[in-house]
Amino acid sequence: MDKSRQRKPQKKLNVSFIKHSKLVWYNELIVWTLTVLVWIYCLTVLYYFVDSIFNINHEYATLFRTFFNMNINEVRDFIILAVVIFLGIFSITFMWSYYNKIRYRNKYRRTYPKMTTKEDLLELNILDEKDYEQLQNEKVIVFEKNPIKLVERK
Amino acid sequence: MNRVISYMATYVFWYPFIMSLVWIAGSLVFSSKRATDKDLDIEGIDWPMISILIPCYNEESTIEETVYHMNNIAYEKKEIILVNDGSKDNTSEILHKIAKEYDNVKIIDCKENRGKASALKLATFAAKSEYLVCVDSDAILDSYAAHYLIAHFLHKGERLAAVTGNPRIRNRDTLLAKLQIVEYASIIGAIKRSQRVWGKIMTVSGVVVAFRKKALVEVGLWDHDMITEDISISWKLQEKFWDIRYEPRALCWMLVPETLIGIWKQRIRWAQGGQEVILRHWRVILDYKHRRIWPIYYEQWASILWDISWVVVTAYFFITAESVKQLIIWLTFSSFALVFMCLIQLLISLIIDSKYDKVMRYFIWGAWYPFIYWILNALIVIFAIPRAIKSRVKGGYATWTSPDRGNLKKS
Repeated sequence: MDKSRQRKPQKKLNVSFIKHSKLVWYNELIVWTLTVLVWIYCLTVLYYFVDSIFNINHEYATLFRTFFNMNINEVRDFIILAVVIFLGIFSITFMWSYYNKIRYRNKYRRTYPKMTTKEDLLELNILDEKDYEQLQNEKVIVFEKNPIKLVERK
Repeated sequence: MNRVISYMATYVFWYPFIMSLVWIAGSLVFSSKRATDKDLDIEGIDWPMISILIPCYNEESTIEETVYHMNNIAYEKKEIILVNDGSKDNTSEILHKIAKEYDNVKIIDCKENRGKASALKLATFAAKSEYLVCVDSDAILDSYAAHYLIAHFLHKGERLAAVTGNPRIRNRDTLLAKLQIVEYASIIGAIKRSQRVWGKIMTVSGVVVAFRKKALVEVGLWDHDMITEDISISWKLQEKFWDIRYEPRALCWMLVPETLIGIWKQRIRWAQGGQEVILRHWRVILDYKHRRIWPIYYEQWASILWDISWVVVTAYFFITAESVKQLIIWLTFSSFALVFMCLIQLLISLIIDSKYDKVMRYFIWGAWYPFIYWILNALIVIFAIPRAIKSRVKGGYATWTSPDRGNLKKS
């Protein structure tokens, strides 16, 4: 059922859907300045862990480890724990997916449902037949009041 | 007291940390086993007729463009049904004009405002086809999105009730819009992919979803008294053992709020909708037959518990802090670890999602996520709790308000 790439022209069309907003230069200046500050923090965080993983022991990362009352081994142990947890979760998720694939691959537990009929819809008892016919057959329908009846949920 | 706070603080750290690993693992498994990069053999399939349902409330600025693009999508056998749900602007007049312009467009002009669920019900009764593609009135479908959605029903889709698509953001200039690009691509996308691997999905995306009419009728159509009809219908369908799938190739381009007030109102709605659903559908935990939805159900509660714990723990530390050092919550090992994890999750999810839309460049804005969004989302959930409880007790129609469509330039 799958075939290759007739969608490339569509990607160009999708770009035309992008809308532009009204921007104020001083707002943008503030946003970019704060973004730089936020990234300084994020890069510090990244370096803190990279330093521990590769045992670099740079003084900048050491400064934070001292601040947190931690040593490099404790940070590395934490990262190892995170990797182990991730591998556990990934394995379970992968096996669950594989199990479902094996279990349901060749099972057709229902036949295809039949098409919905007028009777099926009217059995809901939330719309009169007259309104149903109008909705089905007219191109422009105007209601002063919404004809859908309020039915309490069972 | 200290022991309780200590437990809560432990939970505040480990819950998002573990869940981040869960979303990464789920996304990777989905991408490796379920997502295909190939396109459909459009000509090789006898495509059934579809009805595109577009409920409208105060949509005078967007609806003409939406119908124009919807009419031009590659899917040939289609009808478009527009429902005006008592709009207060010129939507009604515009719909009548559109009906004259397009042969395949039907309009239902309802003067009374009764909410999106009632509008969708009306459109369902008007639809001639078995497959209903529901789209928001500010959204534009990718030309082949409908094909991708409907193909699922035709291929081993006997249990399938709904296929939800992949929302893309059209307004991309402001900080809040950029943050939402990252969020839709990495957080919402990762959650949908993971939940699909688990087998159940918390919610379809109301902005783009295809339904089988038979399944909708079996569960009594949408709930009029739930604030988010998409979350509610997802649970009703899955409670009746209908399947829901996620199709990342079915792109739908939409506008998102670009003001804090706009995003606050939208997210309060989402949070309230999620809480209303878990309050209404609590009986699923009593029935072993519903065990596959238990992880989704408990995860919702765990998430609410995290939000409450975060607020309590943060407030406690601020009140009891004895030095400035203790007040800087971002300079703790826990914060470092969570930010590190968050950046990894955003990066991996953006790489996965960039197959469908060029979103990698927005990673630079992802750095804001742990600063703004976690705090904002925690507060939103707290504010939504009393609303959800009140709504469950009071009942009535969940009507809608005009959404924030961004701070756009006039074209």
